[in-house]
Order: sequence, then C-alpha cells, then structure tokens
Amino acid sequence: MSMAEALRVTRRIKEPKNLSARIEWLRSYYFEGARRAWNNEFTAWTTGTDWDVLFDEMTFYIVPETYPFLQTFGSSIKQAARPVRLHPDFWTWSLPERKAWFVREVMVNYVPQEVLPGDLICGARFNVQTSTCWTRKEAGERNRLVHGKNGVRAAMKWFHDHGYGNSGATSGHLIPGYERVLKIGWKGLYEEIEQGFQTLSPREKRGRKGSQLKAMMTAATMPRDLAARYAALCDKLAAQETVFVRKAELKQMAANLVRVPWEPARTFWEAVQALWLTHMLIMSDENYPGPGVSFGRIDQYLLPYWQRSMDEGMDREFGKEIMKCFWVHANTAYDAMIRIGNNGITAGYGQLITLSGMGALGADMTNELTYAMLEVIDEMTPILEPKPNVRLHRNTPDALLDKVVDMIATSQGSPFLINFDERSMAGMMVEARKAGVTHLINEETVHDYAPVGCLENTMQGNDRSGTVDNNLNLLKAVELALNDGRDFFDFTDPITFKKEKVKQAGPKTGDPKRFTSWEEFWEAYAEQTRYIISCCVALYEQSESVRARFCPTPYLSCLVKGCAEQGLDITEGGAELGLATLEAVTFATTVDSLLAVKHLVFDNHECTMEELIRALKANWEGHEILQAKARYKAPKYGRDDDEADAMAARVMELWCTETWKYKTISTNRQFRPGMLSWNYWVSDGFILPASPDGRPKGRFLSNAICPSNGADINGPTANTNSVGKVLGGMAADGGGDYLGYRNCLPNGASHTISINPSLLKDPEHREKFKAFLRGYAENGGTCLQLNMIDAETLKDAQQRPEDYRSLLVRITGYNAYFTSVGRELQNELIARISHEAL
Amino acid sequence: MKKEKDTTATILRIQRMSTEDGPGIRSTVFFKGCPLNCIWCHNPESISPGVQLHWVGSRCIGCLSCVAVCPENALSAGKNGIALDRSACTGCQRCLEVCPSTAMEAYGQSYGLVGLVSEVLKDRIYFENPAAG
Repeated sequence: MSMAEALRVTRRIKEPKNLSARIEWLRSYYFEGARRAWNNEFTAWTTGTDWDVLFDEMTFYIVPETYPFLQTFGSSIKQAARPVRLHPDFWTWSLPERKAWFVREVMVNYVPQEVLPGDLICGARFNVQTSTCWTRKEAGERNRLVHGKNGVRAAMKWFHDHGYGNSGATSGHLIPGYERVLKIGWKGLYEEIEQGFQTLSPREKRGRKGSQLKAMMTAATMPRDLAARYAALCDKLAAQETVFVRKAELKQMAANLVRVPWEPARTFWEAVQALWLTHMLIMSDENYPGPGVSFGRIDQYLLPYWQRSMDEGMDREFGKEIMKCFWVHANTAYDAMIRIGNNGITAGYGQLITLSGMGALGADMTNELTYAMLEVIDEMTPILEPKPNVRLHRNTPDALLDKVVDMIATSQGSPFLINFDERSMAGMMVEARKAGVTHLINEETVHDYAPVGCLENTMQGNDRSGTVDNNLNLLKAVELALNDGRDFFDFTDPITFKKEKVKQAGPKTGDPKRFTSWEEFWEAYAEQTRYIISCCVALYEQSESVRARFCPTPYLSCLVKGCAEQGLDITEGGAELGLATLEAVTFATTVDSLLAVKHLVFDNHECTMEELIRALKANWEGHEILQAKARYKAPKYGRDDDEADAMAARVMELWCTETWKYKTISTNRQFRPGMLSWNYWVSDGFILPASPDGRPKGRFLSNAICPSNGADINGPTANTNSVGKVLGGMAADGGGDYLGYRNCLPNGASHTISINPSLLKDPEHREKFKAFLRGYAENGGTCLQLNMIDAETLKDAQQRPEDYRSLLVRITGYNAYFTSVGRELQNELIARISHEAL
Repeated sequence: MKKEKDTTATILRIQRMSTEDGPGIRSTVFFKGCPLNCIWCHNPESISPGVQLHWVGSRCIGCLSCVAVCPENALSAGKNGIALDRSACTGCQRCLEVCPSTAMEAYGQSYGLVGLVSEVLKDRIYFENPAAG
C-alpha cells in the first residue's frame, strides 16, 4: 500500500469500545438516524383555536440558517398539530397557569411513553411543540409585535442582513438547580413554592405573583405524574418479559420511578433517572431540544449517590452502563427535526457536563466518578452529547492530565473542551464587581462556576446569562468607519431581492479620506462600535420584552433560584443572577483590519485611504498587490507581537467597556461581554464586504478569540500568549481579578488550536503536550479545544463521506460531525489545519 | 547616557514549541553560519554565515516587482516561477522590501543579544514547568 494509505490505516478514526450488547444496540440504533422506526421527532399540540401559535420563531433568531424556513416551520408545525382537550376553566386562568397545565397535560396524557429495548433509563420522547396558549387578544398583540411593520422579525432581518450579526431571546443556556432537586426531590421544591404562595397577601395571591407560583406548582407535579406513567409502563413490560435479567431490571426501573423524582434520590440509578427526567422536561417546557441546558458539575453532585451504591454492592460496570443509557438519551435531542437533514446546526445543542476542577481553597475535586465518566466518554466516543468539559487548574493531578491527553491523542475532534479555572474564575470575579453581585459570586463561591452550551461560564442553579442571545460582528464598525456611518453598498434583500438605497445608519464620523492621523480613524471606529452595540442591545430588548410578556416557562422557573422567591418567571428576569451576554464575533479580522489600515495608510504610506476604500469596494479585484500587502506585510494579532497585541487589547477594552453600560429594560438583566462565535463567522463572511486585513467578501471571518487563519505563524505558544494578553494577562503586582489572573470576558472565549497528530504520537510527546497545557493554564485563555487531525484526512472525508460518518471535528467551542457541516465550513477547517505549521 | 554596544548575530530562525531531539518544550535558536559542510545537512541554508535571499513559490502573486527592482538583474521570471542567480545577488534585500506578499524571504536576520533573549523568553512559562524542563 502507498505511504498515505499506510498512514491512514495507523490513524484510524476512533471507534467506540468496551460496549455491552445492550449499549452497542442502543448506540447503533441511535446512529441509524432517520431510518429508525422510532424517533424523538417533534410532535405538535394545539389548543385548537384558529389563532393558536405553536412554533416560537424568536427562539431561532440566533440561527440565521433557519430564516428562510421560519414561516414554513410555523405553518407546518401548526398543520401537523393535534388538539388537546382543555380543562373547562382553561381560558379563565393566567397565561403561565395555562402554559404549565398544557405542557403537563401533553407530556403525561398525550405524548406516548416508551422504553427502548434494554434501556435502563426512562424518558424517551420529549421533543414537543406545544401551544403558546394565548387568548385571541394575546396572540393578536404578540403577532403585531413580532410580525408587524417594525416588529421583531423585521428588525432582526435588518440587523442580520446588513452584516451586524444576530440577536434573539433564546432557550436554555443555563445550569438548572439539579443538585438541589436530587437532594430534596420535586416534593421539596413544590413545598417551597407552596410556602412562598402562603406568605402572599390575598391580593398578591390573586395577582401576577400568585398566578406565577400557582403555575409553578402545577409544573412541579409534571415530573411526578410522568414518572408514575413510566413506572406503570415498566411494570407492564416486566410482566410480559421472559428474560429473567431484563425482568428484574424493569421491575427496578418501576421501583425507581415510584420514588423519584418526586422524593429525594438515594441510589445512583435513582439519581441518574431523576436527573434525566427532570432535564428532558425542560426541553419539553421550552419547546427546544437541548440548547445548552447543561448539567454543571455532575461528577460532584452525583458522587454521593455513586458512593452509596458502590458501598451497597453496585457493580462499577453496571454504574457505567446506567450512564451510557443516559448518554444515548441526551443525543436523542437531535431527533427533533430529524427529517430536515444535515445542516450546520445539527451540532447545536450543547448539554454540557463538567468534570473535575477546583473546589474551595484551591483544592482539586477530581474523584472516582470523574474517572468513571471519562471512561464512559472514551468508550462511547465518537458521540456528540452530553458534551464534556474538563476543568483544569494549577493543581490538577497528573493522573487526570494523563487521561485527558491520552483521550485527546486517540480521538480526532477531541472529545472535550478544556476549561481553565483560574482564568475563568478571574472573569467571574470581574462580573461580580461590575454587575454588583459580589454577595453571590465571591472568593467563597466562585469555584462552583461551570460552563454551559459550549464554554460559557455561569454559576449553577441560579443563573441565566443569555449566553448566545447576542452575536455582534465587530467588523461592521470598520465598514461604517470607512464610509462615514454608511454601508459600502446598496442593499438587496436575500430572500425577496427587493433593493434599497444606502442609508445613513450609523453616526457621521467623518470622511476617512480626510483623516490625517491614525487616531482620527480610531475615534471613528470607536464611535461606530458604540453605535453597533447600541443597535444590538435595542434589538435584544424587542425579543426579550415579547418573551417576558408572552412566553413563560414555569417548569424551568422551578429549577432556577430567584424565580419562586420573586414570583417571577425566568423569562421575566426571575433568576437570582440575570445577565445577557454580548458575544463579539470577528475579533481577529477586526483587529487585523485596523492594523492594516494603520500600516498601509498611516504608517508605511503604501496607499491612500481612497485607494484602500476603492480596493475594498472592488473586492480587491485589480488590487492584488495591495491585497497581498494587507495579508502579508501588515502586522497581525496572534504572533505574540506586543505592538499588534496592544491594538487587540485596545479593541477588546473598547467594546467590553461599552457593553457593561447596558441592562435590559423589561427584565433588568445586566449585559456582559463574551467571545463565542458559533458558526456565524463562516456565513457572515458572505455578507460583510472585503476587509482591510486582505480578506475578500465571501471568505470566512475569524472565529471567537482565535487569530485569523494563517496569521499565527509563530506556533501554538505564541498564539496562546496573544490570547492571554488580550484577556488581561497577569497582574504584575499580585493584584488581578483572581490570584494574579485578569480576565475581561466573564463568559469566556472560545479558543481552538489544531495540532498535528504527530505531536502526541508517543508517551514522551504526550509529556510535552501536558507541559503545553500547564503553560496554557498560566498564559492562555479561559478554555481550549484541540483538533487532532490532518488536512489529508479531512480532504479524504470530503471525497468519501460515507467512510467518515462518525468523524468528529472541533469547530469553535463545539464538536460536529465533519460530513454533516456545510461545504464552506469544511473548507475552512481544511484551510485552518493546513496553515498550522509545526 | 552612553549606550553599550550590543552583541549581534545572524539568526536563521527561532522555532518555538520545539518538541523533537530533546526534552520538554523548547524554543530553538538556529544560528546562521556553520564551520562544517556535512553532505547530509538538513538545513544547508544555514551553512553560510551571510544573509541569503530565496523565493517562496506558495506566496508569490506574480507581480514581478522583485524582478523590476533588482539592481543586479539577479532575478528572472520563468515557467517555474522566479529564479535567483546567486552569483549576481549581493544581498541588498531590495526585492524583499518590495515584495507585497513576503514571497522573497531572507535566510538570516540580525538580532542583538538583548532582543534575542527577550524573544526567546516569551515562552518562559512553557520551559519552567518541572515536567517540561
């Protein structure tokens, strides 16, 4: 065989291993995808009124790929909906009460309960599209606000299609209070809510607060009622079962469900069952499959149950078996739109589990369950959910680091994302100060943060930080600065093809051709940046205020501290910690563009501003020499070059400072900065015009906090140093936000590095790689993900996708199956990896 | 204040995150100029102590600015790209300055001792780890 073939054989795509027949079956069955006879596809349920609305399109405003389909989704889901017989008093209740009742009715009495063959965990079907339960009046009002002339949809489209980015109040992206509900049961939660209700005055009881609490009490009985159904089903199946072992399992599952999740959990099996049922019903409540609804520090709060069961004689492999069943369930979230086919969003869900990390006083919290879970991940990989995140810190034990590096080395799209505690905690301490919540986030509590979704840092059980709700292209401010607050070109609507002349959108910051100094250009850019941030904030207010009025999620509200206490739904801002994250996109492209303008026009006089603008408007055609200078001769962020990185830090400081100035009006949530760019930097590359860094329109933008593709010519250590610097680096005097660390992004920033597999080829090299990770913990960012893949393999996968169906790659903060992401993203990954020189 | 004269050297390359041929993660400094002339040399461009130009085809955009600017007519364009006549080249580096895409590169750059050390120490944190060395 040829050398290439031989190499391919030795670098085989990772396969799952050590799976029992049961798990092997369940896992393979899951991967049959749309060919399965059973799936967890959306079922739709209506009140039956002709004004009923089911699909809440606002939750998809942060998924621009769906824009052309929003109308279709809405109509077809409604057409496919089955009516639910309403309680006779239904229309006399408040909206949250209607919603709570309807979702419970659907999940308990309408959606079938099923147990997959051999499954040890109950809770199969949970993806639903339920009626919004609006009265005719409510629907009319809400529809006007969303679909009317200056409605949210129109505003969202304008914002996105003009290249600003996207924004929308969306679901999930939080860590519900799972630890608590396992400990005190839903019974305990119910009692707390009821006690709260009893303390209300008679007037309050009849008013909004009372309605909300009543709704939450209704919602709190949903898991109990559903568990009862499943217990009955398991009993029935047990009676029919002839295989002795399976019969016993089903009987135990029935027994589990008679207790949990209403009562506190005692055994590991009960705990995992309670966790799953509680979690899946959130997705039912929000009508959205798995969007960053995360489990938090699962190896910590499940540990007591694990230990107890181990002490009582549970077989360790059986404990893992239970977890593997749980794993399969998490993936079925993707069944929601299973027949719509492969598209860039099918990696999207991010039900994160967090392993290890620091505890109080810097202690390391790795435990026996951490290792058991790592084994589960290793044995089940490649599989997308639940997405694992490992927290590393200065005192991470060598044994854990060894295991982590081993797993990265043998898996292509590294199975997890690595979070770095000190840097992350520094960001949370900044948030505590700036949001005025030091009573909730402080030196005693900050170690209990955990990431959600992909990598966004939040607290657990009391925090909604809206971590993907606002995604802003910093680069738009460059275009506006270059054209005195106007787009370069007239606008053509991408769906209707309707044309619109250029308008004065941003402030008039001056004709850049008349600027005589770099500082003048910087000031123009700064003012346009303030403008685009204000646009994003205003747009978010639109969807946020509509959601607050019309889209309560009383079930989820039970699980987030602050809601019951205040009598507010989580959608009304009830969470104790209520923030809205502004995720900046196109950071490196923006920095490199500013560096290029300074270098080409003001420092080296390679061209006039007029020539540069002409070149950009021509998409560099006829200006190849200038483009080459922009690409190759101008300084770039990511090379550990102090001057370039200083510009990057300046850009960072500007937009972060501006972001902190804002709060939402309807829900009083504090805006905070972050840098997660999902996949927007690929598609928005087709919207934003050519940029001064040498990028033509149609080419991808930079992602998250990573340097531009090809810019980081000094390798991973330099790349890392640059990232750490722009986050704030270390405080020389021992000050800093946490220990010496500074971090201006409490949300964290996605950072991806592609490593050639040869770097981990043997134990000696893996030792070196561990050293790199320890160095990263000092010099780098809040999180890191590694692509351990070579360009050859990716190109082969493009040619023969059928051979690479389970090939996972890391995009930015999340894993995806390479063969299912769009062609543009595939090409970007190949280009990215080809550039990494080692 | 009188500035001390800095020691200088011609450096071929500073390779950060070197993982081969030695323990831990290191930054390797490749000096230009070697007294040997091994027939198996893997870096023959490092043998001569002087700065040498060379053409990197993958970055060339074919603008021919280098050919036009060379005072010794040492550069010519052909079907294999840009050819460099080393007997004519004086190393004036005008081609390097004028090339818009860094396709004309110099083997060898002068570093002062202080600058070199500070560049190398940028990765100090990766060396100082006891496991790395």
